Amino acid sequence: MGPGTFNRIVAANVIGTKAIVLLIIAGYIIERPQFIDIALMYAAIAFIGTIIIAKYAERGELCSR
Amino acid sequence: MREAGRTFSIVLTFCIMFAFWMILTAWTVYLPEPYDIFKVSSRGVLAALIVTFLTYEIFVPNKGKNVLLKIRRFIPYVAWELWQIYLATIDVTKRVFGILPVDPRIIEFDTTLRSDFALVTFANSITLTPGTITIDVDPERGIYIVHAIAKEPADSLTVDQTMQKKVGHVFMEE
Amino acid sequence: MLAIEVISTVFLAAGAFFMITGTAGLLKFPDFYTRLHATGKADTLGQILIIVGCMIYEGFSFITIKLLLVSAFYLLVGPTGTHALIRAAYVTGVPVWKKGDNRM
Repeated sequence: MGPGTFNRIVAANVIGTKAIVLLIIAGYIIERPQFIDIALMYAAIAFIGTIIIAKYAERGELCSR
Repeated sequence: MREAGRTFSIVLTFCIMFAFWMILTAWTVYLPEPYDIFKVSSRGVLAALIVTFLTYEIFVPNKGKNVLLKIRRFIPYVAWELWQIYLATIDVTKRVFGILPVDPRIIEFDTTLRSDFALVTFANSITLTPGTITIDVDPERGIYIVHAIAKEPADSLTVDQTMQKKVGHVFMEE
Repeated sequence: MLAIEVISTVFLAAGAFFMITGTAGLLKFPDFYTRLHATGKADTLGQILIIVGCMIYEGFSFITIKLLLVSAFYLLVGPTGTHALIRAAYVTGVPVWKKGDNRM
């Protein structure tokens, strides 16, 4: 796609977004409605992961003390 | 409305957390018929208590002049916002297929908003409007750095200023 | 029951079409900032349309409220993640594409 760190972070974000939708539709096909809870949890974790990696790429360290 | 004391914060946060737990676990706990309501809700009360004592200081805002009026003006703004999201996606598909050109540029402008919540709402709205993404915000002077994808969306932010008037109307230009 | 199925199928198909177009833009656009435009906006709306299609199919029960929570959460969170990425790239110094350069 293109060299460098940031293009790969965008790709990971897109894959995470599509995974949430796939989890909800798979829950409909198998007829177990508990998959929606898993989708909500995964959305929260993917969001936090993206922000932490963006903060690390900007500063070079996570907490400055 | 009034200054939120410590007890009021704890009670309000606990009510919101418990209602959220009840919505999330409704069908496995409350729907099968013969149950005893106190034994079944005790797990929810315990979980809501733990979360409340960890986060009660930052959940309820401490100051704010007319909160009820702002909430009542906020809802038509959200409706306008959803219409803009739909227009933004139509715009992206037109640029992918090559009907409209791609000619990116970076622009700067400033506003009169100063409070935290107004700045964040305006930055989110810029990202959801067709053709622009917020890059940086300066909270002291209210200067936004924005990346636009062509000339027409850039003009609708600097020349027309429709969105600044709407956000200023909701928060009373604060 | 036929009307409800037709309406929800229309919403699902439209959501899938917008997601495919957003990812095709990811391959076609020449610069990092424009690629972030395409995925950040098209992915958010496509996901909301798909979840609204699932909500219409179900009727009105507890599952509908949970689906509404997932879609509202993503509507708030998606643009914030996009803004965090683009600000990290701008401060670090990724070059911006003007019209007429080579493809980066």
